[in-house]
Amino acid sequence: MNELLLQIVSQVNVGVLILDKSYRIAIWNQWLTNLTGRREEEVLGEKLIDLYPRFQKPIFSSIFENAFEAGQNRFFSGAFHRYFIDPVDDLAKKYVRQNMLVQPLQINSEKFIMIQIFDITRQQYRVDELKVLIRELKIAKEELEVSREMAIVANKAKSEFLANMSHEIRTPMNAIMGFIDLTLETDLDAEQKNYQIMVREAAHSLMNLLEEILDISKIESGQFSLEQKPFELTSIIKSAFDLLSLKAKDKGLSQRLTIAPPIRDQLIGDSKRLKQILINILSNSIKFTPKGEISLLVEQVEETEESVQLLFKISDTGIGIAPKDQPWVFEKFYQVDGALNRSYSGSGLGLAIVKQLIETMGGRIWLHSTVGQGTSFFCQLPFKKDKTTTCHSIQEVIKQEHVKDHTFQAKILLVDDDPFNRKIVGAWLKKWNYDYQECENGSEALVKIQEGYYDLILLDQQMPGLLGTDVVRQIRKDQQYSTVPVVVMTANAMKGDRERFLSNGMDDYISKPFGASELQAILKKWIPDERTGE
Amino acid sequence: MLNPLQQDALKEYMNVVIGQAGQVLSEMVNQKVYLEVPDVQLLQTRDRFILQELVASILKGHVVSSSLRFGVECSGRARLLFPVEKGKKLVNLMIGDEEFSDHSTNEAGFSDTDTDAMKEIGNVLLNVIIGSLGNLLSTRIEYSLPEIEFLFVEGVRQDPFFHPGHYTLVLRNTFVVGEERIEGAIFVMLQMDSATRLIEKIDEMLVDIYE
Repeated sequence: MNELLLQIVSQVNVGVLILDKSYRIAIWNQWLTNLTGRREEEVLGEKLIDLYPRFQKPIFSSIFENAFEAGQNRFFSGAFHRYFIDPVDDLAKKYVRQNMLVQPLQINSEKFIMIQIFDITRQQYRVDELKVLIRELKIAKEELEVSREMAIVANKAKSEFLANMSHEIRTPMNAIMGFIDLTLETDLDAEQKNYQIMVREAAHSLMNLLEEILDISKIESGQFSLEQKPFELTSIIKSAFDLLSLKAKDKGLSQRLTIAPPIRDQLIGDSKRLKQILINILSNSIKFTPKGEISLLVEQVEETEESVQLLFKISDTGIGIAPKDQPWVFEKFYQVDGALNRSYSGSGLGLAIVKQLIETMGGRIWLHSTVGQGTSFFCQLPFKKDKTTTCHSIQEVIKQEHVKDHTFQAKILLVDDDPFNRKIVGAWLKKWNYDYQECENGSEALVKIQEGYYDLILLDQQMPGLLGTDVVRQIRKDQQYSTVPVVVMTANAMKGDRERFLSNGMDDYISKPFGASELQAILKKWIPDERTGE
Repeated sequence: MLNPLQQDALKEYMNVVIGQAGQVLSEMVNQKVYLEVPDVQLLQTRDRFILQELVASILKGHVVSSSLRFGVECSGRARLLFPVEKGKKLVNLMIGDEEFSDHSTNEAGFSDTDTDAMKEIGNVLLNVIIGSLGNLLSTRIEYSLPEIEFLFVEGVRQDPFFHPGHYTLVLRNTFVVGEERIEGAIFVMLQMDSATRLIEKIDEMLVDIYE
């Protein structure tokens, strides 16, 4: 039995050595011979501290004493001590790691210490490798974070640049579009008229693109806000649908509008954005439908005490979108394929804007489509119920818009430093028989106002010297002019501009570039019928 | 369980004992390691709520435990406990691997080497504490090999630290390595007769002091 146990100790796959009470080696197994190159017969009877002087250190000697005296075990880790029994190969000393376990043994009254040595070199190697990986991961994570921050900053800078540029582009565009409209009112031969109409269409396309870029940059730079105003749902839907019906008719497409009752008509929300969403999706459907039908179905899918959820389904019998392309249709600057891009014009921004608008409004958009059969876009949007008012204000505006042409004699002051703009607006005022005077800066305007009474002041904001808002502040100081309507004409079209102007004493706001019809609507709104002398 | 005087005496005794462990650890890692015991309590089953409060304050969630069983005339089990991330930090500080000492909880996983290191730290500390209890009670003790366990401590179940019919000697302890302070706890579960003899010995110490 003893023979067997000795053989086991000799062959076991850890280093085993036994010390007697005088710290002399009593057992030295084969594993240790393999490690050290010292054979059992060479070391038996030798003192451990003579062979390995490190064991003289108090940290070890006290442990041996404790093992003999107090019967304490002690585990030593390679993490702190590297190794305990030197390997024969000097080179290996650099890498080798060992754990050591010291245990007391007692046979009858004779005490021994068993020391076991465990090789953990490979374990340590794996841990070191892991540490290198963790370090690399940490660096990659930091680099990623820096790149992400840089991308955010760059994207914001891009959005701000676009927003600023749009202001700069709007001003000359206003002149271009104004002069085209004016030219079209002059005597032109058929060819000239045709050319001008084409120029006008090109200018409108350019403006649409500009509006889309401005929208997306506003959304991305966080400068986008939604209005919360009462509106009449059916009139918004009808006006969006009517606006595109001509385009659909031109392509020979039939149209169907269904507003499924029961539906709440008086709502609060951003009707301008709702209309923009519907127009964008409808015009997209018309664009990609060579024949067949376009339809819009509106239904109320949920109603609570305070709000409603509306579902808008816009369907067409167009070319459809392949399943692989469907996830991309709401991406910016994306059109299903390059060839289509050329046969179907557009920036590829429309649906991206629609999606962002809908999400900002708290809704969602999705689509079903079959290639060759058509596409249905679904968008669900929440709106608050308008419980307080009916749509008097809308009706009044409509009533005013239907007033017939007046002949005169309201007096208007037109203040703008841009001669092009003065000329365009002046030409229209003249055409509509308004009496107007113009001046090119704020100081001149203040002098003119002192000299005579005006029924309306059309005032540019960005002028050298006094700004539009400075002029209004001066005017409002005088009791006599405190109620004169002042409409600001500006190319600033960013979030909060409208509110800023109104709070600065302006009465209304018209964004450049504006068309003849928008100018006319403003004039009719602010110059009451009785003053027109009709 | 202990009156304030007994508690103060035991705290002073344990601070001396644990100071020795600090010296051993300092020599081992070639840097100053101070150990402090700001609070000592001897609790029994009816004091469970005190233990629960303690566990909730320092040992909630994933915990690493380095433990020793001991027996013969004085028997029980002793554990050195740290929240896993603090245990990992202590090991890193003592190994001198500070680059990895600021990992968040998710990455605080112990490698095999870290586990070995924690086993040795626990072994040093618990040997000294159990050895000193043996000396104080003048009794022979047998020690098991040290063990490492990773435990999840919930709010209400503290079974690993509290056995019915046993007393638990609870030592809050702080490792001070460089400028870092790492808080953990030591739980020594003692059988009732060992605990009773411990209280008698504490009273003897108090008599020595006041005589």
